[in-house]
Amino acid sequence: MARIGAAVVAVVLAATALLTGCAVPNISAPPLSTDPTTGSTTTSAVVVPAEIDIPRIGATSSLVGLGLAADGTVEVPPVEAPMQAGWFTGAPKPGEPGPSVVLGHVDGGGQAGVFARLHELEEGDEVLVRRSDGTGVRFTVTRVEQVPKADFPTEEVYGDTQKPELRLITCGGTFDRSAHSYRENVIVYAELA
Amino acid sequence: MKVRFVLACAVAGLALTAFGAGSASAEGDTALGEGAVARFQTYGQAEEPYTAIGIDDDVIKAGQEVRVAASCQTEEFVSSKIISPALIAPDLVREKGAPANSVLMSMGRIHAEVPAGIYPISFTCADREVTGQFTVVADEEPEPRARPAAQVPVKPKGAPETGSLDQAAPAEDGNLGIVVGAGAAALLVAGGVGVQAYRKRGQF
Repeated sequence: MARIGAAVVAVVLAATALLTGCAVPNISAPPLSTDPTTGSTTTSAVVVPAEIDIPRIGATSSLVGLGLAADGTVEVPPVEAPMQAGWFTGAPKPGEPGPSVVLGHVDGGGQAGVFARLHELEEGDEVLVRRSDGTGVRFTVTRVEQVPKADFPTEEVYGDTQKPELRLITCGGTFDRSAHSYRENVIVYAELA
Repeated sequence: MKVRFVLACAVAGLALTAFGAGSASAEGDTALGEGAVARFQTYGQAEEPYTAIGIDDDVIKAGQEVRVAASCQTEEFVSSKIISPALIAPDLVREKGAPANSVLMSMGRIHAEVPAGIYPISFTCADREVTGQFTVVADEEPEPRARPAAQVPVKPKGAPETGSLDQAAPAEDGNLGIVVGAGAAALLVAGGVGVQAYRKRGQF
């Protein structure tokens, strides 16, 4: 009878995890790659973005470093861990002048991703980034847009800015089953509060 | 007979000769400043009275302040206007008591809008017009400012793939909840079936 109870508990736990989208809670993973601009890996001696918190949509995650993939696209966090967000190490760090970029999955393997509700953000919403030295940077959302992947606004996302800014990126739109990919990206633009 | 003297040379002696000092007047050296005599280009007349006029600057550009230097080796000289289409300068004036072989100086300014080229300059000495020339050079193109490095030096290509790994679960607009809910229900059903099967097996 005890075995029956254990089996039921396991099934219920698995179902709960799926329903809450928290199958993989915050992960403190090491940087995924080297910095494409300096060739150096992120070390504990360097102050780097460590965690992101978006209160309005309840999105919280540690941040892993993301570089460039071999095909020149930006790396993304492991899709098997969809609750993990990451920051693009080839861009300025949050709080530095320029466009910092944080990426997160909308889903992964049928589980909700850390940025599943990113499209719900509105102008004025708050985004907090905590650094590895314990300091934090507060950004305010200025706009949210959803664009076809074919028209991804590279210059708008990665182009120079006068002040510290932040971009949050995930997937959105309809799902292309033949391509196993979403057709659009949700991009949130935020400025230093 | 008019003889043209070009004194754009590095030999001070030549310059002094051109100014007709003959005996290398000490006043001439002083008036032009050390080394200055060798710099400017002037045109003069070797016959008495010796005359010359020129500009004592290595490089002459539009809008620049320049030093006009002249010689009129006659005791009669008192003053003269300086005539040039490219510059404006106060009259050349011999100071009271200055010797005839002293250099006449006047600080002038090249017109701001004058294009690069060769321009005449003249004054009057003993009722004769003395003419020289000088060259205005173009302003060098300013060095282009170094372009600051891009804040994102290497921009990623394409659009990020931030979703999927399939399992047919598009997360857009609440669909995810439905699909996840269905998956969870299936798991619960499977669990229930398992429990039922266990019970049945226990009955045998």
